[in-house]
Amino acid sequence: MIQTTLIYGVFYSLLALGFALIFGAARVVNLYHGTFYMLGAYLFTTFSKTSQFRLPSVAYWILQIIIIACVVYYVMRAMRERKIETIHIGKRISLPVGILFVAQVALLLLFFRVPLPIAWHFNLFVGLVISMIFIAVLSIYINRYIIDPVRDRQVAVLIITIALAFFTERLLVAIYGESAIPVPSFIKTRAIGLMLGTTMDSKRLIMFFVGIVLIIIVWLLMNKTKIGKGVLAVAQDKEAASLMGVNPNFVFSFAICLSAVLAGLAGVFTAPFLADAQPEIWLNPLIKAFAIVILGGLGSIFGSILASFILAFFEKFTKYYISSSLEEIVFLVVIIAILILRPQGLFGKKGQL
Amino acid sequence: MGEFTKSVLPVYIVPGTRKLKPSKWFTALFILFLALVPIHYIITDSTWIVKLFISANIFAIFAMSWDLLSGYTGQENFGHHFFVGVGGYLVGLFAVALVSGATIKGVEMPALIGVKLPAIVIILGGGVVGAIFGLLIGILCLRLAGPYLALATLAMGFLFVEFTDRILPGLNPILETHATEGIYNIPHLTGGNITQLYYIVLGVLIVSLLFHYTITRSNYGLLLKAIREDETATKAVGINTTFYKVMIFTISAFFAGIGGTFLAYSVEAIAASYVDTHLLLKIISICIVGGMGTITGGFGGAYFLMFALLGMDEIARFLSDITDISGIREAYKVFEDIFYYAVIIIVMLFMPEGIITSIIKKSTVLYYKVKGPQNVQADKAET
Repeated sequence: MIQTTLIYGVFYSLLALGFALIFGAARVVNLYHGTFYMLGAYLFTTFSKTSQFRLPSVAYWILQIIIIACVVYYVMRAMRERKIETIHIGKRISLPVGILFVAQVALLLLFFRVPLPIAWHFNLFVGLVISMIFIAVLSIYINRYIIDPVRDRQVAVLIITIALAFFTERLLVAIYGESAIPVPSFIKTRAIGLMLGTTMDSKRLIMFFVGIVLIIIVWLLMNKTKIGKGVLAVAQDKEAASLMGVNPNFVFSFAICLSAVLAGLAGVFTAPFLADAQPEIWLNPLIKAFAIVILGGLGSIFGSILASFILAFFEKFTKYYISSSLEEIVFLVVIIAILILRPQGLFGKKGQL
Repeated sequence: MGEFTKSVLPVYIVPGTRKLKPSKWFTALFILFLALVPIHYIITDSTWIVKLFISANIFAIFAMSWDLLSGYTGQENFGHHFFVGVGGYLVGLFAVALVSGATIKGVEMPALIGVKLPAIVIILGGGVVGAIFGLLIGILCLRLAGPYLALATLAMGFLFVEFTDRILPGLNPILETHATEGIYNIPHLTGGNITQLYYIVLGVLIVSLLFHYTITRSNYGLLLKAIREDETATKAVGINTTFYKVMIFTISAFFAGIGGTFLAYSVEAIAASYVDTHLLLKIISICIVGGMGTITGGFGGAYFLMFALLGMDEIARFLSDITDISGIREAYKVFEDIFYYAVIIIVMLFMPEGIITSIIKKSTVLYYKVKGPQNVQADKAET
């Protein structure tokens, strides 16, 4: 049980660190966080395998409509800003045209089975890098175009991010189908002997070490580099930080990008043994990350890591000694109890909200 | 509205100076239209239009009660599906699961409760039990406001889904046979007569519309608005805001519970997947489309979205008829799920006041532009 607690503790800290960063720096409860986890698993599977699953034709129409709508919106915005008359062939025109061209070629390749010049089978590491870049870009766009317009109204942020999460879920159902897709792993499944005669699944072991390394990297990034200190400064006082030369908008983008990549990596390394890529796997990580951040205090990195180990212990304790059907309830009860009894969290100061 | 806005904007755009409400004639005509809907069933003998209207009516009840608490009083409650689920599961338990026996491993087991309650008692009971839960949650969440209240109630909704999905079937072997993955075979409320069911739901809808409309347009409504705008100031005037917040929580939960019982009766089943977060998002999208903080918005938004979905269905059918592309109808089925979420995102980003409110507002502005400025002065003098 200690083994399981440690592994799940590392997993939950990966999820919660990013969530705490956004919560602390931008004061935004990002309910889309779990979807980054799910997208990590899905995109990694998509980019690192030859296309074993066949995409249905419904997906073609949906993607086509979305692409065209995006391009039309972009052109209309450019026209409203009256830049089209002045710049004839410039960034404003070439970008949507380029996107349209590339997207159409990609759709043709995907759906009409034009023979590919190169076999679409990336190395696992290349697939990992491509999917993480995709998630990072997506998170920055979400921050800019979805969260920014409603940033001042926190309840609106909640509604819009949870609607977006369900939107993505249904979109993934349309593209990949309801059934689970096995996620490839970096290592073959075998039991690895540890000290004192205990053994451990190799997938879990690799997740454990990757998680520890990532936590250390984030810790160093936050405390030793300029941008990390900028994030902490904005978390303390946005106005004062911006007077000191820290750009809050850049910090928000950086925080959401970092948190999305952390969640995506957690998805890539956890999905092979926890649950395969399914369209519903975003909800549980979200609840867990949220409960941990609430328990650890808003925006407190050390508190989040400690709280994730505490909650992992309680969850596994409930599972092994009380009842496995009560496992999921631990986190929900923690959320409600902490919010009602001690809204500033275990390690947060009073008035930090 | 500060002094700045008042001095800059023309008089007819300042909110509050013109009352933007649909005319009474329009409302009366619409209710008459609703009363005539079962004619479609009598003529064509197909039930799906009437069923669609029944579900729209039930959603209008949910949306109005959510709007009373969240739009009008400003206590954003993301656990409304909890109250709906309480009502629905009460029907499931007292009409099927608790009152019917089961054969487990060849042994006949008697029902847990010997008496069958009449439907009216179950419906009122759904409202009362929902109200009790609303009272409890309202008292528990008194200290919370804004996003923290929203998240705490959202967590309670998840807790309810977990409870009905995992714990409830494990309580008793009879419940395990009847309540795993939902309770089905709920008896018809009116013996299969869909017209009668339609009129009952319409009656409940009109009663709750009148109730919500009266309470928000009275002095109490002003008080609730004051709580939404500035709770500290309202408290400082000497008003017991705690009492009103808890009271509105209870009333809202009462109507949600009653609507939940009708939801279970009209689809003849109740399951955790009917009352999960999807339901909450549907309710929210209805309110956002109609405009929050206007009870009529929840009423209008339900039909607006229903007609929009109906129109999209017709367009998809038309396109698939004329173009021979088989994917369109399938794509529409996927879109029906996505539609509500897309509506939420688009409306929140581009029309924060709601589609219907902004249409009314824009048409008011257009009306005065056509009419000319001297009449604006005359209208101002009238109001």
